[in-house]
Amino acid sequence: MPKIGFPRIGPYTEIIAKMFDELGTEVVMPSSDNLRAFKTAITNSPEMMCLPFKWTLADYIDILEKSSSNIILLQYKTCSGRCRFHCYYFTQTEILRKLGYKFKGVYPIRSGLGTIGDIMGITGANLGEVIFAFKRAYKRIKTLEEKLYPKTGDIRIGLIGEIYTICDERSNLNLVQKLKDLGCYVENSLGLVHFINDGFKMLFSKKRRLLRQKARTIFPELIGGHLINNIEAIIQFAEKKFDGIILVRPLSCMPESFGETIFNFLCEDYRMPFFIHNCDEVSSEVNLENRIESYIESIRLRK
Amino acid sequence: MIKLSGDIGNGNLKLGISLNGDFFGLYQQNLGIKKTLRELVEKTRQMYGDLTINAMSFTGAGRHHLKWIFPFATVKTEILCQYRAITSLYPHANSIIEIGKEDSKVITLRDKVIDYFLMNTLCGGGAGAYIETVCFRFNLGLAEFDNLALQAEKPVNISSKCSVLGMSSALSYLQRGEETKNIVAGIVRAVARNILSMVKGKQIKPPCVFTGGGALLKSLKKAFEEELGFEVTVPVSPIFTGAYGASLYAQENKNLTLKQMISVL
Repeated sequence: MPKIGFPRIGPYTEIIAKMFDELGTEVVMPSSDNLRAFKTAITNSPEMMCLPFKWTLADYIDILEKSSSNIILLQYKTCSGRCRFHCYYFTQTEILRKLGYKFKGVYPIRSGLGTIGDIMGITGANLGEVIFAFKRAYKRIKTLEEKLYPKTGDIRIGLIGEIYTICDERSNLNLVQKLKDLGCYVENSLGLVHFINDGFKMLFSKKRRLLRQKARTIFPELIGGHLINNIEAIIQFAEKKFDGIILVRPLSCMPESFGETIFNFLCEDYRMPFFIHNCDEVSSEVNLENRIESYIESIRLRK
Repeated sequence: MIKLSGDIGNGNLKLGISLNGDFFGLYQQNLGIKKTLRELVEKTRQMYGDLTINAMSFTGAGRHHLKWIFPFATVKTEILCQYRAITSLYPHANSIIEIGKEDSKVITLRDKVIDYFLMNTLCGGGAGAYIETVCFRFNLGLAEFDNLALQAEKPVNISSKCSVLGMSSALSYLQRGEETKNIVAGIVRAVARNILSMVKGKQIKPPCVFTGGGALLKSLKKAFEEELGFEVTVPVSPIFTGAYGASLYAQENKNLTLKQMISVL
């Protein structure tokens, strides 16, 4: 039975673990508050590296401390193009080996249809089993997201940015919960359901392809990360008459920092207030609360 | 109606009493909210007798703590209070710059509502604490610092982002024999630039109001005017605009004498 471990990704972690469990692998879960491992990760990663790098590395350290023999570590390869995220497995393997851990290796899992092939390769299950397990996991994620983002609240906020920091509540300092407490209806443009659906829509829906074309007229280059998806998300939020847009990104995130100017202009055109939440290990939760509250109140004032 | 409003900042605690439309204020360094507020209320009591407060409101970083002590009080964020105060004092204002001790804010207005606001998030290099550190190191009072900075002919170029590194580059200039007035003027300019770099694409449009404790420095006002290319307006007592804005939000809720208030604190 292959033994695997993967980094936490907010509330989805348990569902993904269950899926691998059903496919006949032994899953070693990282603990939800591994601050000691996080400190080791920070001291062993470059200073200007983004927060997802540090948190995923911390999770690997945590997993390897629990069970170190023969483990396969998985890496989400959610970003396409030129974002650094999809190359992290390489440096992280080096760092972990230097720290003295023994394991089989860190394997990146591709996004899109490649995911199924990758999972088949790791678990040894056949295509039917993987698709079946995928379907069940998808259903669970859907019910989870309905609970996570309830459609109540007088102020409608759209979240855009980088998928890991949006989904992982450790990285974004519980931003979604804070917004819900302030009476907001939050829609996440990079929730996993949306992320999976979007891939299929891209293949089969003409309307979706037209939206991509529209986004391409705003920014024609391919820069990677979720830049183009975020431009599309802003257009969609504007069509749905949302009240505000929050950009959640790791500090020093290349694609999203580059896109900031474009998002700024777009939000100005659509007259939606724009707020940037930089996630870093030095960000303070109290400061964030203060700023979010001011932001929401300034939107209330507008209405 | 008598209103009591407080701006509980990280650096100083500002207390304002609004008496039938007249507003007066007191401030003191914040050494614990309860203790400082008690002293300020005591001072007010000595000056004006035992007033009965009809409405109470708080803003600033410590507002939640006071909401807990006075559950009937109105609490609003600093952004809203500054906005309310400035728009009531200067109805034509298009942008607001506020420099506090640890926070700096830029608010841009469109059609008299907040269009966009920015608070410093990751860096304190654009706040009053930077200037205070320099004053301490150069052994200058704030007024002295201000005068020196105004006299400067050729301000030096100082890195604006980090206050510690800015300080060390200021000291290197001192080591090289640069005149103090040029160095302090460089520091003032660095603070102004740091705040304006925060705004990035969002243009600050005139008329612009410059408020907060930082606005007491004439040199900083001058630095902003030079960087922006137009004149900025400073309210009569810029320290109290937050507390004044809070008093505009206060609604009549419960009658409380100052003596009763002290007993709770």
